[in-house]
Amino acid sequence: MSSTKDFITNLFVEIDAELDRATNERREEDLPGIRPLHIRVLGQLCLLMDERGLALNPAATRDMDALVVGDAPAVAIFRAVLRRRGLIYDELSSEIWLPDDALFLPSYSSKNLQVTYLDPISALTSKAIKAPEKNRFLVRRGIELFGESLERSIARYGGNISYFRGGRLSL
Amino acid sequence: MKKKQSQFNQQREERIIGFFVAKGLLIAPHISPKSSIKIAISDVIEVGLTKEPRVLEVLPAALLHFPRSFLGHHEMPPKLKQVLDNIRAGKLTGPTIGGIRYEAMLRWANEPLPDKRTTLEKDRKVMKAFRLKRSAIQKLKEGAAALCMNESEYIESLLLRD
Repeated sequence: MSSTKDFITNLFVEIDAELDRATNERREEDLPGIRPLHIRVLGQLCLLMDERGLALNPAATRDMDALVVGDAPAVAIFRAVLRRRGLIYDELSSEIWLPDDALFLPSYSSKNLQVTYLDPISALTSKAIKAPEKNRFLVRRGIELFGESLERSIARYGGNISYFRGGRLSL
Repeated sequence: MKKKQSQFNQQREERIIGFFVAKGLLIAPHISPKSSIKIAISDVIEVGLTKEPRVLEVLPAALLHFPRSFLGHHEMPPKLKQVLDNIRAGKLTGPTIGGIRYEAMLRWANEPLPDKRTTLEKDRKVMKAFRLKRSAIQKLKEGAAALCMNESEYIESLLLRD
């Protein structure tokens, strides 16, 4: 389990190192430095960054949903490092619906890079509301793990809890 | 009996997801990669409909890239066959499978795999024959030679340039 967390941590270490190198190069050329890059990880990968999320045994495709705020060269570095490591940044990440009370937890922090991730209950609520079919079994495991706190959160945003107790999906 | 069935289901899920992990199509920290195995299409669908729908999202990509790793091509559900046909034909829309939209399946079929060994469906060459005048063929040969290309590359460069 720790190998995926290491993989994600190493990803941010690499982005950080590249940002550092780019900042130094710009300084040598008397250009303004690069402002810190802020990454807020959403989607399935945020579950892989959290011990409680990992307990859900999630499987993820290779896309990273994230809200990324930073200067253009920093965002380009972020995209390039992701690609090198076989991941793809989902350009539509900003369209992902989040609960009003969504909570972000710290993951990585340096002078160049701040990374937080969506906590599992907020992530599962988002999935339960916007993509219930694809996440039926994941949310069910989440309800087993988090109990009432997740049920309340899903119900608060109009989700149907009984849907997640149902059996197989239809083709 | 129930325990045995549950154990069987668990092993099947690990085999299926492990295969997709080994091929670089899924990330699943709790499951070890299983590269040199053959899996039944019906088993993938069952796991997708009862445990992890994301296997359905990457199934068409795997079927196109690694067809010989799968058993039961002749029993493929018509909807899945339609998805594959549409991807091969470069269509942008198609059927949804188990709640997974066609666009998501198309996306993974057209993304390079981390191993970079497979040819993407969108990059696959298709045979096409034309009857041209000798003078046109001569121009084609000269144009290709001038740019150190073969004739197919030369035609592509003319058609696809911005």
